[in-house]
Amino acid sequence: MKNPLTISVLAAISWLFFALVVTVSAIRSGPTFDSSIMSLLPKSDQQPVVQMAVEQMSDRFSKRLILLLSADNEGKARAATSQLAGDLATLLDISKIDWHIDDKQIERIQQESYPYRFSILDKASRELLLAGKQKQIQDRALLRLYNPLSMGQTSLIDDPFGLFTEMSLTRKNELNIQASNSLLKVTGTEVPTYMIMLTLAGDPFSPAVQEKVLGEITAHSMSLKQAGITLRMSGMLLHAEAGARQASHEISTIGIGSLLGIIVMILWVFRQFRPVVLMLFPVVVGCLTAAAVTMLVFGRVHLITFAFGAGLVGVSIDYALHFLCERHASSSGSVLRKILPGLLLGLFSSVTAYAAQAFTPFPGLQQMAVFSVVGLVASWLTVVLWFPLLTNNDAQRTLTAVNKLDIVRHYFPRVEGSPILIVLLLIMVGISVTLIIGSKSLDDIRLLQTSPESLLMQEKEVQKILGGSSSSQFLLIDEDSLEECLQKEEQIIPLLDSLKEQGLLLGYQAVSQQLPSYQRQTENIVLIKQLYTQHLNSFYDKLHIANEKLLEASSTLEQATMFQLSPELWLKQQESEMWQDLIVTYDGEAAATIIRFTGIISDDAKQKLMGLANKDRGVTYIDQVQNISDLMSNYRNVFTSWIVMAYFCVLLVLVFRYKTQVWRVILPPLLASLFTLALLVHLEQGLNLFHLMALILVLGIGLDMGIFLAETGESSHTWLAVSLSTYTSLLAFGLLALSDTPVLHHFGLTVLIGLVAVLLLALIMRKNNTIGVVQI
Amino acid sequence: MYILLWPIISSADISVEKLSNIVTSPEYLEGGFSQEKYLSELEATLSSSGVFSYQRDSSIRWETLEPIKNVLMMSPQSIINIQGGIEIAKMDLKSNPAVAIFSDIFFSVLTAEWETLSTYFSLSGTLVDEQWQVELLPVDKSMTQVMSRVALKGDTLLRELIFYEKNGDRTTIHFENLSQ
Repeated sequence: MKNPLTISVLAAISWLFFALVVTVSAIRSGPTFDSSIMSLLPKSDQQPVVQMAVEQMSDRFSKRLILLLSADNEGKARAATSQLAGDLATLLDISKIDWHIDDKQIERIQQESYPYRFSILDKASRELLLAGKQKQIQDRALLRLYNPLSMGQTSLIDDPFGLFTEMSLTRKNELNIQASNSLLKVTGTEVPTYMIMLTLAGDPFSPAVQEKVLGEITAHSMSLKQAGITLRMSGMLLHAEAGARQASHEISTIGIGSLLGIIVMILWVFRQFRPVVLMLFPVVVGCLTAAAVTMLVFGRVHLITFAFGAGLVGVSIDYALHFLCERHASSSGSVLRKILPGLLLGLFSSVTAYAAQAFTPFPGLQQMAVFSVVGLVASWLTVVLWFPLLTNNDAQRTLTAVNKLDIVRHYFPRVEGSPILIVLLLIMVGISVTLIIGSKSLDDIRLLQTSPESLLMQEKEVQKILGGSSSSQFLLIDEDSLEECLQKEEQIIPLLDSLKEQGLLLGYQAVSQQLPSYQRQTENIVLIKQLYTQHLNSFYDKLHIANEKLLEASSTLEQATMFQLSPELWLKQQESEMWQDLIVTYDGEAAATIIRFTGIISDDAKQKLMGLANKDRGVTYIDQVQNISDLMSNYRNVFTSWIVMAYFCVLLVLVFRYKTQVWRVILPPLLASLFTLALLVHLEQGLNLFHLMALILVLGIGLDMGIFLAETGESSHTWLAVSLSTYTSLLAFGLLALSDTPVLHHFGLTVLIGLVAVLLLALIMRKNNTIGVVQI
Repeated sequence: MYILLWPIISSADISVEKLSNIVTSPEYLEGGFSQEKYLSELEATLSSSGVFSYQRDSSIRWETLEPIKNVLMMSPQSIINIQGGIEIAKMDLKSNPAVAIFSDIFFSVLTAEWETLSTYFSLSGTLVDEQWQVELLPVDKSMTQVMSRVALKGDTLLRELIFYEKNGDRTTIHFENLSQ
């Protein structure tokens, strides 16, 4: 007798030690929490170049934080901008801060592009030349000379027709920004508005980065407000921070609420404080071990994984409750023997269901699978290894709650011998199936947007003011060389211009606007040479410029036409900096570029762009939002098949064990799932992946319930255990229905409805109807 | 009447208040102009003349009659070039921030928006017997790339304006036959 006890003590201690080591090593690796919905989603199954483009775009957007400061007068806005930017610039978490441009930089930008004034032409000049309207170019140059406003006139010898001036005047920034007295002023606003653009050094989801950067901004926000300055911001950092804040707020309110509810109930049932501690013990070990392993495997834990996983309490608490309830009816030595088959089968069914998620291609689901499986196994082991030792000396006694529950149960109708109930259930099944078949799916990723409305509004406002471009919708040009990409862009651009004229497109940005193809540059030079031959003479005549200057101008042209802007040179230019990421890749063998769009693309424009992409193999229209929504729907289907398969396996095992009585175990969770889905279709207008994920939990808890009941022959203590575990799960998960985070809300509501249904169904499908403690 | 509202800082003890007493700001003004543009590179001067009119806060019509015929319609939103009654070019200032600045300055000089001018320039000058001279120096260094200095002269109205450019070019405009 002594030997097995030592072994069990040893096993219990080694298990706890192991859990501790795993947890400590995870903490040492630096825990990171993630709240981006995107990171829960699978990597695109598209070609590598598309993936690269998508990543490049989203990386750039996720690391950017834009601040706009507005005031009713220039001086205030400028002073506040300099002050805030100056303080932010000292932060190590910011790798780059753009808010200032000095005149040397502006001069350099001008000087860099001046040599290419004949090979890079503005759109209007080129169109005039192509249309043979050289005379208009000459007139335009004359007008400029007589214009009272000097608009950066260049030399009448180097560039008599002012081509460089035209080009620089029409050249745009990526955003509606101009340099104003060395600061970046937003154009087209009613009150003076200045911009500061931050590029983060680290991950926007890192709490440290959020705290430092946003902390610094918050520190200024009070004095900005007092000074009458409006601060508007846009960037992933804000959404990440809001997500984390909301989640932690909800965890602390909903979480604490549910914990209190659970503790009060346990105290009432057991009339002792010890069971509360005992119950929490496996839950804590389970959650910590699960979080630690997930962190070690994936590098970071997603908040939704954590919420889902923490809700695992509901399942893992089953084991503890089951043990504790049974312990009151059985002696210390016999309890484990009695319930071990049930516990094993329960663990098996849950683990099977959760492990199935690991095979889906969703990183989020894989995380949850790992978290759940590890958490369940850890809690289970803690109960099985530690509880016999911890409850060794407890006395056997009947709980009053058991009797009360028995009385309540007795008045509950049973399906057996009640044809009305059977008919009623059949009707409900019929209605549910009809509803589910006719349901829509809600796979649009935007519905899952977790950010608060005010933040989204602000973001939209900033993007509108700045004319920012979308990171998720763009054209990808994929060719054998950069030159071919640029040529392809030049072919597409007239189409984009016509969309713009029709008002379908607000604007677009392409590399070829800054760096024309060699082909285009050569064409331009030929056009300019024609212009000089035909019109320079008469132009100079009109201005009474001496003939010798004509030769001078011609030789300047000859020299200047030697210059063509190569990609290598362009990349070295200061101005190319903000356009460089339009080039996804370019080397000797392949190249890809992006055409970005301003604002949100209308459906009409989208159709046209897709049509354009379909006609040309080298052009792809990428709509990342749509792609992800499609993937969601795709994986919702995959996921459904996985659940069905997993449960089929469980069913086989259960049939083998319970023979004809298997319906009592299987039907409650199955019918509950059906009713829940139908009710969700009615309440939430459709189903998405997260509803289904929660349904696994309902199935898991429901099956556990059935298995435990069947294993103990529906003993009163088991009824108490399953009722308590339903109650705790309802509190732990069901309360998530109150969450403002859509994913958590979907999840919570499903569990709430599902668990209530499971318990009711299990009750009406019960076998025994006796009052009193049934001892087996 | 209106053209002198800015703070003239240096000599003759002038102030915005004093200037405000001298000038009023007409809703409408028209007159003739003669313009000389000196091109330093060619050491040549291009002369032109014409008529202009403005509605305060809304538009300036600048019509060159000699040696070429051209109408420039300026508003805070756009600059339109009209030749022979046909609009030949229109520039939307919202999408051309650089031009917008010049237009803003020209507008402010002609229609006496001193508040606006003071955001671009530091102002100094003299005021003697209701005759004034003012010099504007850009505070924004990026602007000196094109406009190094502006000189204005007038009494109750602006009479002469000279834009100096960095490359040595300058544009002198004389106003005459002004009527409100």
